[in-house]
Amino acid sequence: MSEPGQRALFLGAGIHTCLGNGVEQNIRALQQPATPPGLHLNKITAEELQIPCKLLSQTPLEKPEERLYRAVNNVVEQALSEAQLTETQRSTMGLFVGSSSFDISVWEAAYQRELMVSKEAVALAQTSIALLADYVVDELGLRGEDYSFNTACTASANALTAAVTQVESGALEHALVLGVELYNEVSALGFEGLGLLTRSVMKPFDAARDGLVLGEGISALVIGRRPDSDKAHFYLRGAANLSDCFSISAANPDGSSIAAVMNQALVAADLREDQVDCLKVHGTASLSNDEAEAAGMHQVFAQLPTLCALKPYIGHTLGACGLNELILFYRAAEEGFLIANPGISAQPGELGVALNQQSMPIAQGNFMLNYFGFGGNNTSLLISNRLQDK
Amino acid sequence: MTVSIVDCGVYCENAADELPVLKQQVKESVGRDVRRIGRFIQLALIGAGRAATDLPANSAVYLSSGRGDMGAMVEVLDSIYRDRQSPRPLSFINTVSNAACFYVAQALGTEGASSFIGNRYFALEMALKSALLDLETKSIDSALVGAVDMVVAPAAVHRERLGLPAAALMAEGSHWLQLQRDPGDRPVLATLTDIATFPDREALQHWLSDGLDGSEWTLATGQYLAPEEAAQWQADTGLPALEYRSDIGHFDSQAGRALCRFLEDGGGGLVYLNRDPRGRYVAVILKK
Repeated sequence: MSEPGQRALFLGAGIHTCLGNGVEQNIRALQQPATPPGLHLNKITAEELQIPCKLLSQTPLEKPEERLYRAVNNVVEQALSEAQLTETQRSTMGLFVGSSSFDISVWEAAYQRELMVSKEAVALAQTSIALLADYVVDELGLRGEDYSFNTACTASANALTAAVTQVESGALEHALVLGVELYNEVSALGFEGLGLLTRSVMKPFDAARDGLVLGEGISALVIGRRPDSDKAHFYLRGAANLSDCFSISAANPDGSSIAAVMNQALVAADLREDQVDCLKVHGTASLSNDEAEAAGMHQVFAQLPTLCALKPYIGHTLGACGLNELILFYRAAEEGFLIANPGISAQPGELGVALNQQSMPIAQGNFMLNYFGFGGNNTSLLISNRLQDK
Repeated sequence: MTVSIVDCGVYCENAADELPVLKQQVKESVGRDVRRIGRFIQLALIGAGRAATDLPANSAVYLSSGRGDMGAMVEVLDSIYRDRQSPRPLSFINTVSNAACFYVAQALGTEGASSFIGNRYFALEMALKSALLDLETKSIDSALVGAVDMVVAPAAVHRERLGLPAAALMAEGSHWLQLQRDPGDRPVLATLTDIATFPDREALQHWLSDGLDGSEWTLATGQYLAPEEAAQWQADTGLPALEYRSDIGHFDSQAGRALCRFLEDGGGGLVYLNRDPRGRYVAVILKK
């Protein structure tokens, strides 16, 4: 336990997406145009389906157990190495995992295998959404607390918020936040059944938007206090999470619930709307999300800030999108550029939303990142790298 | 700082192959029928509704579970792998654990934050700790915190999932607490004064030797403490035991039963202890 009051800084990050393994590969790829997804032939259902998805780079879709744990280990080590924690600091960290699916790909494979042997096979022969956290706890020898957040597309954003609260309150010195989303049949067939998938590049807010692409992504972020640091670290300046009781599958289309969560995040960050330098949209490119999100942004901002989207690059990584997109956004900013979406929502269409078209330089600033999920779960984060606010 | 517990809600029943129909209890608890929901969500609504007296509209909902909505997930997996069909849209959406949070928030008219927090052995304890911190740091004023565990029939298969012996008694549980940072003039059942975790037994022992005042304390030992270790804590602390488990079958989050039993029947203060198989410990302190 230590003294509260200091900011929890982003000390080290790791990431593996379709763009590459490691921060450097991902940031380099973000400076190239977004590409369409691959098609995964699903032979499990009676009708063969081609599922558009963006899989982890250099990671074939085979041996689910090895695939998940190897990728998680690798990304966690990237973050821990960069954070340069001591062994003691590592062992006392808290662990905050956010995911929609956790290790379900492992249990799917096990069930499929066992059904081939016996029709008496049991689905979920042993399961808990916390088993993935248990694995990381054992792998790292953690003695701190672990939390597994399952709030659909806001899961890892909410995990980050909870971790920051614990560190800034003094309850923890450091925390490891982990976002995980790998291909699984429940998500793939579920979204296919909802008619939400597209085979093209995702085009949030664009008149030609026609759905989302499922993406795989694993990311890790180490946060902690480092009062002697002379570097302008990013940190979470404020956040809000609110329930939206309009519908279990969509935000209120009038934008009121989305505006409410953004306004509450601004209050938490002690910022006015005109102090937001850039906003990363949730942007699922579905008709209902983009309509509600656009309406919400127009209610909060008299003039919209510069907007960018990350899902066109990495797909919708569901419960991991909170952390995946935050890491890509802030590391691009640290490299000095703001992400662009050339050719997507180049002009404000009927929703009145245009995305940034050209990669532009940025330095210090306040940045809003929004996430909205099934189950009426809306989260808005405000991150900053302004030294004077630390 | 402490927060006040102003209400608690309980559903806790032994369960076997013939699971009781819950529709009427849902209606009685939240005041209306809630359609197209599965058993896990029904259990959540029953417990949450019973803890929601005068619940403020800005309350946050924290739901936890050892294993989550297994019923929804088993249905979807069977649809895919046994029937070779895509899951039905609503069945798929209900596999997100926070679907239960949505129905609780909608039924009780809350628009605050909501979260589903899983932990294999300390499910309710970790949700309570999150809520306590959020209340202490003033990001919320009011919280409804619960743990829900369900049985998926047939019972024999469910025992297998839980790793229980063939004759083991099982139960379903839904235990909820309503917490307030400032209860005003509302009656207070107890105060939640601390939730602390420890990397090992020695750290917990040290904390206990420093932490308890001269109140009349009762000790509740958690379900994942081996009987010998529970007895040892009883002997070491010299505190009388809170009995809350002898009449109920296994479910994953029995911490809720201990806390609610103390709120209903106990006096003085409660020290609740639990441990996980890795030797990490948690302590929850309530005072009346």
